[in-house]
Amino acid sequence: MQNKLRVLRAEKRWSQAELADRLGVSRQAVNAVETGRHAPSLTLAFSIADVFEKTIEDIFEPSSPP
Amino acid sequence: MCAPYLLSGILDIGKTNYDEDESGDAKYLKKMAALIAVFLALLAVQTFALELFDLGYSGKMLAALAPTVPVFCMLVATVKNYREMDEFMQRVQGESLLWTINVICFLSFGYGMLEMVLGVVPPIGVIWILPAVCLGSGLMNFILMRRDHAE
Repeated sequence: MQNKLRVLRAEKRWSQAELADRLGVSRQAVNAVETGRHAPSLTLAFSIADVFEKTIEDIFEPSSPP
Repeated sequence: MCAPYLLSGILDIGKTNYDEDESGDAKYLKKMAALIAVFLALLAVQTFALELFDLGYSGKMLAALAPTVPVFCMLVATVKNYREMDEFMQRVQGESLLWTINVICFLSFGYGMLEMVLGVVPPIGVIWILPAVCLGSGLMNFILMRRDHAE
């Protein structure tokens, strides 16, 4: 799964730690989601979308078209 | 089952406002350090009791099992800490534990095979299982975190 987390975070000028604080997860978790090593659960995906005031589809997209 | 709650209550004595702001990890580490101290103290009491007093069978049993109480509390604390982790850290911890258990099971199975075929092999006490799981899990956790960081 691909995501625009790094770009969105850069736009807000947040560090990974700052975003992790807002999401209530570890910095390692943010890093893992950003780099695509961890596909977030629906709960975390909704939290991420909520923090950036976007929809899940705006942030995440499947690697290959369905 | 009340022992962990009793000990956790004891450990929370003297809590300050600063303590309430502490992160879950800091609280967990403090609790584990205190439980290790209790374990070592009970180990010392056990050693002295067995050396100095002529304990009966039940006394020896009690002395032998006394240090396992803080160890049980540590196991409960690790589960509680696991539940408080985020999903990524839970995944890493779970994978670490799975690798550790697999390796220990594989090694013990191989050792058992050697024992069956060769007959005599140096005995290894079951007391080493818990330290092996703890150390192995910590080591695997370190390796997996490093791997994830390097990728």
